[in-house]
Amino acid sequence: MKPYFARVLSIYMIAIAGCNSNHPEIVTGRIHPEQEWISNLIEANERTPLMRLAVPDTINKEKARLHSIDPIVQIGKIEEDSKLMFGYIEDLAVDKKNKRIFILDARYNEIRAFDYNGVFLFAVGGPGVAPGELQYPQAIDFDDKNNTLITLDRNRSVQIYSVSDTSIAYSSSFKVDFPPWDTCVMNGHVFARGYSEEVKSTVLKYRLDGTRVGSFGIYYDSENPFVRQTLSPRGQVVCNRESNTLLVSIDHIPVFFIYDEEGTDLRRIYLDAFDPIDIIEGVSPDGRPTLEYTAPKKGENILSRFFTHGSDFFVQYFTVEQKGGRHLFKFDPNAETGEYMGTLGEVTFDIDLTQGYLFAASNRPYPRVFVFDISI
Amino acid sequence: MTEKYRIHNILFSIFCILVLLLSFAVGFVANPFFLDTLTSRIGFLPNMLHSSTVNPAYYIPEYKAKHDVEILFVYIGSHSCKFSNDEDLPSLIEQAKLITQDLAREHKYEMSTLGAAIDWSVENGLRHLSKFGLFDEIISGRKWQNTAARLFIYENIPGAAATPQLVLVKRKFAPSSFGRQIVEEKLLVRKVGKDEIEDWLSIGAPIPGFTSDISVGSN
Repeated sequence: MKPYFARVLSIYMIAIAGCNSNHPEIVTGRIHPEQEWISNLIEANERTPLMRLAVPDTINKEKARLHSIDPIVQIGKIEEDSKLMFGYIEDLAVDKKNKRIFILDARYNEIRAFDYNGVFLFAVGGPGVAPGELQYPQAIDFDDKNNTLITLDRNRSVQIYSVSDTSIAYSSSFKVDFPPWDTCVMNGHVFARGYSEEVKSTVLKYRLDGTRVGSFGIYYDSENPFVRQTLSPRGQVVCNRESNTLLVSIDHIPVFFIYDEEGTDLRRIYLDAFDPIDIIEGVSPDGRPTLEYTAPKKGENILSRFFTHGSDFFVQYFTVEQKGGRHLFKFDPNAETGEYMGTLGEVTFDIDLTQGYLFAASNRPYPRVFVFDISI
Repeated sequence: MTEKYRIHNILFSIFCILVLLLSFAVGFVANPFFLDTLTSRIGFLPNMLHSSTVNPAYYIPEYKAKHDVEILFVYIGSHSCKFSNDEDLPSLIEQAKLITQDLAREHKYEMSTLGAAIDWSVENGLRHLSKFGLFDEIISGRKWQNTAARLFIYENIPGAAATPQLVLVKRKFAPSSFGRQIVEEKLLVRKVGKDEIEDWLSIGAPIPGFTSDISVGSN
């Protein structure tokens, strides 16, 4: 019996070793994002210079005035005209030339346009899969040079609308090659943010007719494909139509990348002292790879939104369980340093520095958009 | 012999009564709405027990189809979803059902409820839905291929694929050769996640289209 038992045991041990060797890349308990990977990203080199952004040790309260201002207009009511009752505000786009705000509602699958005073102008979209309709709307952007409004759906479709002074009309649509998370439009091209394992890129560039003409973007480089394909797609892309550059972020990573339209890595921006939440790698009881997003702990930081005005980019983030609102920074990618702008309670979506407005939104306890006057 | 039979009959009657009481007790333990379901289904006393002037603490189906317009209340949850099993959720859903029922009555609309469980196992789905009181109709099984998910998430009225979720749909009916058919279906409210449901209830559960003459959506 003993030799038989030993044979069975050895076969069993080999089988276990074999199973383990199928997943050599999984390290149970490994915490993401890995600090070593972030350190490699921020190592300065001549080709991609680094800009550091940090909250000042002593905040000049006069300067950090955003903290105390009240909105001048609120778009969204608890109970009133249906067009003022939103389901969930997913994204905003601002037409700074014509002083219009396009609000993407992810529950009614609709884009509603308002002027800066909160007067309803027109709506487009509606739930469905037909051209011009929205199924799972995720992001919106407006190119004021071409009066082109685009929406991005989680079902991979991009809807393109042309906007006139008084109305909006569906123009065309196409499908992107991965489930996207964000989008922006610039100079007749749509940039979709996601992750393609095929071309190892986070941004795919398309012409308005849907032809893919490029791909670029640094991804979260983990040897575990599950981790790579889970963490790399999530992030934002913002087009700066003044400088023809793009900002690309990866959620929970305090380094952002500035690219030109062709995808050349121009500059990296680092949020100093940013402590991301822990995401833990592991294996489920049935042997599948897992990623556990831990509950945000006091002092940890979470990125909010990126947006742009003129040649500047803006970034907002908040600190868990810290009073005082979300920190807002402004930076010109071609300058040496950025500027700390103060804090704001709501999630900021866009800014119009020329006319002195800031646009924020909140979905709790009910969805609404706030317009702040920052011209003072 | 006669005396013996009489004793047997008495013992048998006591046994039957005990069995009946036991089955009621089991019914209550398994489902606190057992009596309502039973009385409504076998058709005795429901109107006396649940007069429309008395607002009960939980939703009770009317088992009628009498109006041309219906508010369909859809709860989509899952046995395997941590957030769907939040201990506060059943009372929030019950509260939402009752508020919707009041609104429907106020507008002389019909109200019906649909419970949908996004689970592979039909049994697990039913177990999950049993925590959420009474429904007029339930669909369980086939995970995201579930018929309710197809109707209210992917196809007829597309929206976020997440649980827990609450969807209110306004349906218009018209007579047809087989009784009546849906001629119009419109999304009234979609609330995804406990926070959205709780926030919506905290502000009085407003429903666009009920308080203004402008229609919801661009349709």
